[in-house]
Amino acid sequence: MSGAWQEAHEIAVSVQAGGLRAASVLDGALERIEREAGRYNCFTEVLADQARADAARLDAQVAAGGKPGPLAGVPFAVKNLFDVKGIRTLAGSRINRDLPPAGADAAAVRALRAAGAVLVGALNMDEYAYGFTSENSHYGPVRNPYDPARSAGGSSGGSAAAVAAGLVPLSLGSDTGGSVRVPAAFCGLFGLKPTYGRVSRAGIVLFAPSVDHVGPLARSVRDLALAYDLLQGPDADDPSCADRPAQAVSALLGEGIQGLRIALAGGYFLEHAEPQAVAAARRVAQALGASGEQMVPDAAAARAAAMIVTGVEGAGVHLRNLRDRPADFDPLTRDRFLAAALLPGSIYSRAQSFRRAYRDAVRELFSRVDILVAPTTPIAAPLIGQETVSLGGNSFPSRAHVGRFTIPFSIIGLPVISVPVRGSALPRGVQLVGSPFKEAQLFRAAAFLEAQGVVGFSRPT
Amino acid sequence: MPPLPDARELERYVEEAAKPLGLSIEPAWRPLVAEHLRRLLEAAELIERSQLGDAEPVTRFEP
Repeated sequence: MSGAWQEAHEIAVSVQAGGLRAASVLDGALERIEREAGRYNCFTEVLADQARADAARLDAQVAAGGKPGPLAGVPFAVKNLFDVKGIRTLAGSRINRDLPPAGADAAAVRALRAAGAVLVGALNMDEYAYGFTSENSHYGPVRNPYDPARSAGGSSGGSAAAVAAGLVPLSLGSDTGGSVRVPAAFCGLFGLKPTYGRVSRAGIVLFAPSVDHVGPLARSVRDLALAYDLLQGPDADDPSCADRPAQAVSALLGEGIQGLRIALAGGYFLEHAEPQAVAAARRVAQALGASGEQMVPDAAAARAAAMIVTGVEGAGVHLRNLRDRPADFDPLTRDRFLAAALLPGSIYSRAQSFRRAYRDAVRELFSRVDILVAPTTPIAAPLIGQETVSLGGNSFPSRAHVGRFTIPFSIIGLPVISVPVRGSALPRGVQLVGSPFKEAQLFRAAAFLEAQGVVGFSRPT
Repeated sequence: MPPLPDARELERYVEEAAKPLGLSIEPAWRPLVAEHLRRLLEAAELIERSQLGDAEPVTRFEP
């Protein structure tokens, strides 16, 4: 039986070599899930029978001399907005319980299973991915493994809690305004939001189609890279997917940061935040030899545009149910969807105009730097139910404020890795932000920081 | 943009604008919906104040 903290690549190597049976790895994971998942309320479905069948098939393949793939025997779980053949895709909602079970796996799930990973279940989240704290009124809040009174972050809260608690080494989430990066930061994990269009979203419940991304969460850079290399690439089933060949990053992790131009994001990204959040970003920037600060032009307006674009697109996705069964929505999402449904289309169009102008301005900035460093969140994980946060004498709505630093990057589809900074009482993340399709540079920087001991996963005690 | 309406006016807008869209917004929900609408309008105002200028809106239509 493998340990709770064994990394995905270690499991895969052992299973490939026949030194560890996939069935034994799976037994360990299922036993931990049975014992501990309830404490964090992170799973909404455990697929024990299917997982046992998959593991047995892998073991038979290895015994017959076959090659079971780079994630051989690695247990993983997915946010419950990914289609998994045979189960209902809840997307955190009550409404979706009435849908038939999915007829096929989502593309990302299929990619990891094809590489030998063993899917063990579906994970709790904010309803329809519209939130940063995974406080779900239908399924209960996801609790943080570092302090169960606190949020695990959202909307991929279950995806973060399951990995941070040692239940699985790898999970999948989605990120529209920060929904991979925020839970990764709150739970001390590495989380990747790839470039928009880099990873297929086919078979997921979309929140805001022009801003949605799929990404992995893991306890090490190497595992994050391993998953990303399997996920990336074109997919004709996702019209947003870029027609660009995959560019593997795993082999580049040891290349270091030589030649990379790195700067700290200044101004907006250092304001209205806890001093520890700013200090964490400065520490990472210093470790990377950052040349100074760069101002991201009009980040506050970018956050405003994102709020409009995501709200209106989300309201469009759910308009029929908002008409027919509004009482079945989580109140935390319903009221925002309804407000966005009432917003004039001209305002949405203005937000989309701004979005392109902002993208052009940030592109210009990235002609001078390769990587920007910024805090992932302005605060550490808030308490479940916490309504406001006080910073520098100002009060902010805590749930919305959590996304202050992540939203301005996802609205223009930039690739970002959130890295867990060592030495904080509660986990904190720092974003490494790159220009489109330059994920490899971010992975090099993340691996360098991990090797230096500046960032890394620390087990909850 | 003109100054934002007060909470009562926004609630009235929520009630009236919902009707032609076929949305039924219960009276108890209206204050919060109106509050979220206010935040969206404030966001729109922030965009209007931006110095970045205009560009063609982001679309992804491919004939």
